[in-house]
Amino acid sequence: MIPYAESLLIFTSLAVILASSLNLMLGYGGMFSAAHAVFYGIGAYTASLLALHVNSSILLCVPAAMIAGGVAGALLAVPALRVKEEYFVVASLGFQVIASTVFNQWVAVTGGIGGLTGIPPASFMSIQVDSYGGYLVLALLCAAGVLIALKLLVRSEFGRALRALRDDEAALQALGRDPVRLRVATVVIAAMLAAIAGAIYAYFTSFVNPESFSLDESILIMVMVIIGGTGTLTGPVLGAVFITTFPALLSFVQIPSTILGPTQRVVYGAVITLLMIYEPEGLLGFLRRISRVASFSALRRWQPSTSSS
Amino acid sequence: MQLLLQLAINGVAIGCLYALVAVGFAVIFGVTRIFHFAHGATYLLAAYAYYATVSIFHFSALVGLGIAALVAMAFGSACERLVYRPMLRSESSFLTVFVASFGLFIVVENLIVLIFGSGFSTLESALSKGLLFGPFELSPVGIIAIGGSAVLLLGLELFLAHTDAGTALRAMADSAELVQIIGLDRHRCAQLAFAAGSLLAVPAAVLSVHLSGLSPQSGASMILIAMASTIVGGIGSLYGAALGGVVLGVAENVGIWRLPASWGDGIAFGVLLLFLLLRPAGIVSALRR
Amino acid sequence: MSLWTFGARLGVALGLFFTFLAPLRAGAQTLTVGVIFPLSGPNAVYGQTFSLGANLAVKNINDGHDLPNPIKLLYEDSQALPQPAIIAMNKLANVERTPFVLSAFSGVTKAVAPIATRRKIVVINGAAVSPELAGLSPYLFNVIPLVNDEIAALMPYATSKLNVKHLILTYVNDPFGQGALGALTQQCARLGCQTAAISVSPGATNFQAEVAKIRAGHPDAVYIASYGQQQNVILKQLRDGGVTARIFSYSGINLPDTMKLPAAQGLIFTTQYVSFDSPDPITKKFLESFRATNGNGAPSFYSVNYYNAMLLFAQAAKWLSDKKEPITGENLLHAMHTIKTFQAVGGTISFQPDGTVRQAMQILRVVDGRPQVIATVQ
Repeated sequence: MIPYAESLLIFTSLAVILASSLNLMLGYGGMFSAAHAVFYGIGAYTASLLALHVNSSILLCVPAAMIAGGVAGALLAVPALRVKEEYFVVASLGFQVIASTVFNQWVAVTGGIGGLTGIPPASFMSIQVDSYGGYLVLALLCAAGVLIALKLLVRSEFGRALRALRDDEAALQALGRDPVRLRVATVVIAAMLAAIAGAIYAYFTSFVNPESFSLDESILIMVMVIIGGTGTLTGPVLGAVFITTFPALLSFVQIPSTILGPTQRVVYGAVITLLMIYEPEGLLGFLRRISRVASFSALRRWQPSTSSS
Repeated sequence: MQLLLQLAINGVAIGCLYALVAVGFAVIFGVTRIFHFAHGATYLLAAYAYYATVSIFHFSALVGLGIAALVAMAFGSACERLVYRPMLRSESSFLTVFVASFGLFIVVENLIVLIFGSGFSTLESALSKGLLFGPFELSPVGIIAIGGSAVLLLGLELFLAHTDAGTALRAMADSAELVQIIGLDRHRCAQLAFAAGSLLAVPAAVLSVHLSGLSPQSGASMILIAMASTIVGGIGSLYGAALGGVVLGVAENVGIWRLPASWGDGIAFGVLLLFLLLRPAGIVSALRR
Repeated sequence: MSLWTFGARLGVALGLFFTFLAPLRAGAQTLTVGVIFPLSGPNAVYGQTFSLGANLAVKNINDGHDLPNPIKLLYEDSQALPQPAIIAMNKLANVERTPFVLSAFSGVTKAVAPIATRRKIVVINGAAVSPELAGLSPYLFNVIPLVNDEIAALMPYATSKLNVKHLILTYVNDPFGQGALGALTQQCARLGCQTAAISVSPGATNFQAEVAKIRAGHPDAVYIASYGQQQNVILKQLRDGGVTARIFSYSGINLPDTMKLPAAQGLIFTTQYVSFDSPDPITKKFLESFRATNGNGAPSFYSVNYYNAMLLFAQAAKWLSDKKEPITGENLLHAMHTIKTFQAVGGTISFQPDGTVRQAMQILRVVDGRPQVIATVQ
């Protein structure tokens, strides 16, 4: 059981990185992207290729994955941001489909649907990470690092400018900042962070293929952000935890494995829809409501005046 | 050269099916401003309803078509009534509506997997046997696809231009406030748009059952292509959406002249990106220049 | 309100979570064998044929009390895709800790092989035929001859007896299809026939463009290297689209549903040759029990292969339990290397150093919905 829980936690940490980095674009920058799995995939492929052919050191593979992810981010952002905002989502969709095609067809590099196998375990200096526990520590450290980086970023001058951009572009331009450059920087940063998750994923599963970086995955990441609650640091974390652990809980219900997958998806599709209808603020809004109930604020505030004069 | 023409002919036949789904999507989007991702689910439901009626219950194709139409319209209306209307009442954002619609799509897609399995199914029929026209080959299904979609689009044009309901829909596409001012029921207009849009997906679904077989995965690829067609054509333009569908169908077929066919999707969306960059307002505006 | 619905759902999920933890712990008294087959998706039909053989073997072995503990098969659904297979293999390795796994499909087997090496689990493949599987892992054994052997058996016959000079290959773009492409290109270069190749995606169902390309190429023959429902659709669309060339394929096309298609008339393909009239008791017992449960039809060689895979496991496990050694993957591997020659349906099985087997091949032609042997190749 313990290895299972560990691997679940590792995948949850990766989801936290992906959802939080997408939230930088979506929640703070107002750019609705359906291509986040591309950066995740580019990170994974870059790290795998380096680990297979050069060296499996984290100090080499993770920075290289981040650079490759950043370049891919610029590839999406530079052309896509020239068009109107609402079209960004469609441009990103197109980018995702093209990237999936390349992952599938460029067999010489990506191995096609057969993927890259036998990726060596991560190494750091002379330590080799080859246990689930080791990967858990690695994934948790990366997730924490990404969250801290995002927190600092959001509080910085850059973060304030970004929020100003989302809320009032004209005011920002009046202050002399270039909105396009700001947006491109945001996409590049988000893509670099997502690529970290890709590298850890490649090390951990020792296998990458295009199925893990499809449009489905991109949309799943988007759903994590929206379900959790956009534009806050906590929201995407909640969403990521919910989306990764919920199907896992369902998998303990003993139904035949052939109908397990579709059943899980029916349930989580329904949860997504219901949540959007009844709680558009996402899980965060839901928790706030609970905490208002749980803090017994009405009870505490209830002070019938007994001391009548 | 001959091969290129043959590929273009195949592309037009497939493109007409894309056009129908795209126009349905565009009608709904134009009238209600809802990004109805679950339109892909409508397409799937219609296709499987037809398949089940014809192949499992052994009714005629005409009965199958009728049942598919009923199922599609019922689902479209139910989406509007049960999901979108409560959401729009609470002023939900574009994103939340999109995600709700997406969740709905996942539910339907996987219910279909649970009922029919995730494999693909085909219908044996004389309609898919290719006919030779000189050196070119086209199946009767392809001919029906091209002719039928032209007739349907003409019908939609007549409906929008010459009926009261059509006029109301056009008014609502222009301005939802205006419709309320002149005393039309906004919800009834939305219902009508969903019914009409969903109905347009039915012939596309039925014909593609014959043309290429059906699988639960085909819903997602169809709605993606339809969304792309709408944008290639220019958001807000029905004529553009139809043209966009045909352009994408031809592009993905002709594009594989020299490339493996598995590049088809990539090519279609490459065309989409090109349009976004060069002509963000779509084909129709490009033609007007 | 949503608070209550959500709370109720969470409660149910947590309740189920704890209820089902208990049975996961049970089962220490059985020998568990993992099975990674396509149970859903377009290739689920293979999973059924494969399981038929494996289940029958387990029933016969358990009924005969050949081993101190009964064998239990743990099924996981791969959908014939690498990614679900990796998840299943990790689960079998880390949660269930099975020492022995049955695998099928080239992409799946290629993906699980490194985990098998790392976690020391013996994997037996009875259906995947990509040439890449040879020598992939010391822990991987293939009880089916690979597709290069099939193509090497077919092509000399095709060029000399059927006079094929120009062949177009339609292959699914995955490790199996790429393997078939390599093998076919090599054979054709040797025999002096011209080849061209067209790849298709694993999930594709519409092949009109490919058919147009094939028709424009005017080949003498088309070789289909795909699976299950997809190869049915390719066959049908080729014939519907007016391609009249001969159609060749490999063992994977030998499914009852495919044989019955009108488009399959005249199809020529290869399979391994299994001698069912071998007099040994193992073959007899297999045929008897197969007919008792599945009627009088001839068993598929896939069922035979997975039956044999389980016989190998039983013989290796017996060898270990006789020596009072624990049944771990490492020990099973050692046992298999020591036993060398296994008693199996259709004769004995012994492996080459790269984990493959050599077997006689047969070439079949479909006539009115039934495959008929037209040649046997040693």
